[in-house]
Amino acid sequence: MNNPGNAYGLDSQQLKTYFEMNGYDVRKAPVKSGTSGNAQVYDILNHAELQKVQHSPSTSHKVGAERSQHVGEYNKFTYKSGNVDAFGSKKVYVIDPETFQCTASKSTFYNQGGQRLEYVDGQYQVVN
Amino acid sequence: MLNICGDAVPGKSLSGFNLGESLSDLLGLADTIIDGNEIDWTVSLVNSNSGVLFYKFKEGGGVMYFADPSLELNFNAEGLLCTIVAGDGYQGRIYNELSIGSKLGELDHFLYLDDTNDVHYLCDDNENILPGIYFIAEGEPVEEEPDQIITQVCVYDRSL
Repeated sequence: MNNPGNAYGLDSQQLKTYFEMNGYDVRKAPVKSGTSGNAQVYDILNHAELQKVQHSPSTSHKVGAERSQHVGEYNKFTYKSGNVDAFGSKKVYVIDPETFQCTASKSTFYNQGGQRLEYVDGQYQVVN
Repeated sequence: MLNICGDAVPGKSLSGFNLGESLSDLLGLADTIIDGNEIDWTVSLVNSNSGVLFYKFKEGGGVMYFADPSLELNFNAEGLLCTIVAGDGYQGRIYNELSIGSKLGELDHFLYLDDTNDVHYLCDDNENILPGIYFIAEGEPVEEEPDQIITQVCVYDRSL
């Protein structure tokens, strides 16, 4: 997670391949019946800190039920229980702030360039 | 018809609007229409809306945004209302006596956190999701953070 901006734009297969090439055992996480199922999630079984990675494609051009809660494209990294990032967060999101809607607690957000973001009045701003 | 006190009925209605309603019957509520052929959708379009904005998608359908109360009506490509999201200013009941601003832990029902989308579904004793409604809070498991505040509710029908 040293260069989170590098993760933006990687689709689920590229994320999976990245971790596999670095020696990790990566398994596709099951999709819970009844959820939207628009995200692809992989469990990383033998990583010391990370539990899973997720790619959610943009749904900004989708209509109806295909439109996701966060709308925009993002990658999400979830730490294993008891692990947090440098800011004390259990989750790291790499997002397109122009199209990513809403927020989540206990999370750190970065833009495509790896700049850390804060959520203010319904939109994301770069932290100086 | 907008009713800020209209209760949430899973898979049916929210804030006075009924799933399955036709866009042609509701489009007159919009004071601003943006054509997706001309302007890409961004969060700032929604944030700068102070009235009722309709964003029309290239492929048909669209989203109608109300600024006060905060409402989002999603219409599918056939122009049928298939998802309603309500937030700030919505005063209806979202589950029994709970409303927007209630603590998620007060919702006396099994919940499943879909952490891929940071939303909470009602589920039965066997952890099967009960379709038609979900809640948006802070994206944390209710067992760990029962005091997280419900900020939005969504009523949907994925068959539409």
